[in-house]
Amino acid sequence: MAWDARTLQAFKDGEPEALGRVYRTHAEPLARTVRAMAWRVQRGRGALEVENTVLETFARAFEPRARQAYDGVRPYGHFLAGIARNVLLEEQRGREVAVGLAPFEEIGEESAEGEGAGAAQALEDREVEALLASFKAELSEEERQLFELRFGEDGLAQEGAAERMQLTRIQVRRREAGLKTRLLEFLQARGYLQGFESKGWSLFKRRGES
Amino acid sequence: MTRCADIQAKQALRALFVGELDTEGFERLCAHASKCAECREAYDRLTRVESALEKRALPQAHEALMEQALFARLGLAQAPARVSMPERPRVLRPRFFVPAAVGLALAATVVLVVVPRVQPGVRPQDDSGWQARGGGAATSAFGIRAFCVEPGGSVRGEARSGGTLTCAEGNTVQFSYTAPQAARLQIEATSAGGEPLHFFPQESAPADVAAGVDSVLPYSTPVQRGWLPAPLDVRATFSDAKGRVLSQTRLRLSP
Repeated sequence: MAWDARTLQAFKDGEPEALGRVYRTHAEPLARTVRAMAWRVQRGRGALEVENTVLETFARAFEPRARQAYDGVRPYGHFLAGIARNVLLEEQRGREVAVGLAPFEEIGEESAEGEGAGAAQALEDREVEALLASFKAELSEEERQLFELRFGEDGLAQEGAAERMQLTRIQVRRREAGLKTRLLEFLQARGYLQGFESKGWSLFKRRGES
Repeated sequence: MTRCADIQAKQALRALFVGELDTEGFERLCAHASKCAECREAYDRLTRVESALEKRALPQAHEALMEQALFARLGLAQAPARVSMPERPRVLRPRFFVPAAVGLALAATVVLVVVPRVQPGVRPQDDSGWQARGGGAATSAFGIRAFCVEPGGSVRGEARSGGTLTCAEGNTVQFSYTAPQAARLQIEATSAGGEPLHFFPQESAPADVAAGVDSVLPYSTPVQRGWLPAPLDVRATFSDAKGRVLSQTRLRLSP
């Protein structure tokens, strides 16, 4: 997004519209950055922890003093990354204090553990990709069309997919929800989500179950 | 690993994946998963699948819910709910619009109105998730429906955008809306005497509504004291946060 004088002033004034735009522009890149940082210093980080870090980073970045400190010249992504780094370091310190480990490593230095975690993440990513490919292969032609429009190379928004399929967005949303429900069942049946069953109550109810 | 017995958390995980979790549920889920290893692992695994599907580190539904959480944390009121899908209430405490000509005593009255249950035969034709978009009145994604509800709670009639709802004195008009995305909504009319009649919200400015299908509005309007002496054109305007009109539709109320 362009930081013209008006946008910068609106941001510094804390106008919700401007803050929302900044958030939506930078949330995804920041999540990627945080995930990459976390791989280097920890044994991988779960999605929840990454999201918590992203949220904490934006909360700090959007504080009045931090907003005033931004000059509109430096890339805002770098500004956020600096805050995220501090958040991660604080979290890492907290963990090490909690479990009595040696002082934390500096973020940015590669570690064997980090590389191992990255490899494990990549392996799990490949497992998920293979499961999704199997799921897709079982879909009807119409379902596969929607799946590809939404999650294929094009990655269309629901509006775009609706346009292509001559449907309304609501219809697309409903079909997508149905597909995802079946995907959950598929993942559970294939063991990806197994281990979450408890006392006869499955994590995800199958269709027809009360 | 211990077995978590929090069924609500598990349902929230499912709703998050399917795209039906609201902000409040998301915050509760995150708070729970932070302390529960089993749910945290489920959260991580499902998010990994979503990320793989969307080829994003932060799935869009998560991004939108986090935005809401961020604004709530900052104490800001923007929070354009992009994926919120609140549960439809079964019984509403209606509030009344108060035209200037009607006594203020109306505003203090509280009546419980049973939310009209839509009969299967009167649902819009595009209600089927797999039906192709075609002709007819239901081609617009945005729309409203109005119901005439008897004092006993049964529905006497209903009309969708472009139609006419006949609702006699003593009954109540109840609106629902359909919006494919979060928007601002205003439903209003102008009386024969030129007075503005605000059906939703009570104020003159539009109010935020979440995306939803046939979501019942939390206001209903008793037809009494003669505010509906003749057919009245009701305007519903859906707009975005910047006030740009997304859709406008009308229906007619008739005594």
